[in-house]
Amino acid sequence: MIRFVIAFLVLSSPAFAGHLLTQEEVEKTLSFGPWPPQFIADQSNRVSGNADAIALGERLFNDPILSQGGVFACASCHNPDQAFATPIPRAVGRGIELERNTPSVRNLQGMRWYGWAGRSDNLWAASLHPLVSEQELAQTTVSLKGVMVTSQYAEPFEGLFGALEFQSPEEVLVNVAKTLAAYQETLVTPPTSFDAFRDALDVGDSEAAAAYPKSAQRGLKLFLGRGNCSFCHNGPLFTNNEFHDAGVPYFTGLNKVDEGRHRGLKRVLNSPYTLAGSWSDDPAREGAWVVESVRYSHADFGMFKTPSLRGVAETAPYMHHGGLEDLEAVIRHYNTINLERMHTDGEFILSPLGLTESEIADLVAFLESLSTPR
Amino acid sequence: MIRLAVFFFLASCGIAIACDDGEPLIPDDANAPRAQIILDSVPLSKPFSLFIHVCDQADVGDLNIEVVMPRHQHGLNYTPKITTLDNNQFKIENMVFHMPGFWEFRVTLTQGKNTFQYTYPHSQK
Repeated sequence: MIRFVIAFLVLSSPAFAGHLLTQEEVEKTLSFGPWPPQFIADQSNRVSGNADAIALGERLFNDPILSQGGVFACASCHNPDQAFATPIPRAVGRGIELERNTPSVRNLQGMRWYGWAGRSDNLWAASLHPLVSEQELAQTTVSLKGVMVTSQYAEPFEGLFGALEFQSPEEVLVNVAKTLAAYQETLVTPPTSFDAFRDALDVGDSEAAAAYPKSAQRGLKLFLGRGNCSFCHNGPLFTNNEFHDAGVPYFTGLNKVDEGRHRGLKRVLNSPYTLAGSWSDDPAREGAWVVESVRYSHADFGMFKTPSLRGVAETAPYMHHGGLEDLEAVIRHYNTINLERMHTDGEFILSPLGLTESEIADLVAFLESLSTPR
Repeated sequence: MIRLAVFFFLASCGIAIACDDGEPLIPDDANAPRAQIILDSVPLSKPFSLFIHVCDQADVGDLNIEVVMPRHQHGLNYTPKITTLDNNQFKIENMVFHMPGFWEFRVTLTQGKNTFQYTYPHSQK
């Protein structure tokens, strides 16, 4: 009997199962997949999933012709060779340093909000704003239409949207944005070593699970447990798509403040380019409830979107201001977070983690496994 | 999900649902009418719906709902959409629990000149 009990305990232990997780941790881990997600066309974008639009979108994304004076392209900041981001703290616009770190444009399909401040509720609107931002591509609707009419892209563009002469300048702007969005939807990071581990847990493959480094497993346990990371970084994209105060300074210079979500909400609530607006191609306006019911309060000041952690090891530096140079710096930030500078009436979610040096290394190992190819 | 769908179908047809197909809301007043919440599995960080059924013959006036995380001192990021159905039944939509942990439903309903408040605990994984 004793031998039976011992055998049972050994066979049912996590170590024998090839991993270090408890059953509860296994269940939480399964919620971070499967990956990659199934493609679902964006109903608000009539060229979402269209092969011709995707091909044209890629060409436009990489061509400086979209910017006033042909100065830079989308790819100048969202560099395909650098995980569609840039390795500098804050983006550089037209002769000016911008407020925020350039986010990667990978894994954007189906998000609820776009941008650090969530000023867009859909990907084509998020692609539209930089086109006409004076600090970025700096086109007007009229000048952009002129570019499209005289460019090599006129014919494929008209193949998708009809004759340019019959499109208003604003219509051309929206259609260019939708084309760019169709391309960006295809930018999905491949499955990683974490996904291999997650899938092994799903089917009970202990041998495959054991291949996932123990340091990453220990880091995952911290991510799910004492680190409280999964409070906000949850789901297959490792983001809850919402906004939080992570104790990161929002001053951008002398007497300058980045309002974050507060400003983003002001803009999206006054924008015609939302899922509730007339530019959406979805007759059912299925996603409109988001912008129609979102709450707006002073508490949104200084909050920023929870970024996805998919591919995170490739997109340093970190946080909305790009002020943390690597993953270790991010963990040390949360390890010794200054509660004094949190909102006084804000969320009491964060507290200094007090991780040891080896625990920090384990958590870094886990985060890096979200980028390591399978 | 199926249970919610069946409930919605029957409620939409004006068919009175037996008031025992959910979990009881906890009233703060012993005289409050019995009320139930019909809530299927709740996805994390994704929109979901639920029903509230007030088990009383007298008509309910207004019903309001808020859900908070008491420990974190925040509520919902989206205003719930409340649709009044027949027979003191209400459909609540546009709910999003964007964090795991303990959430507390806080329901207020008016019946005539009376206002009643209820709570309901929910642990979100």
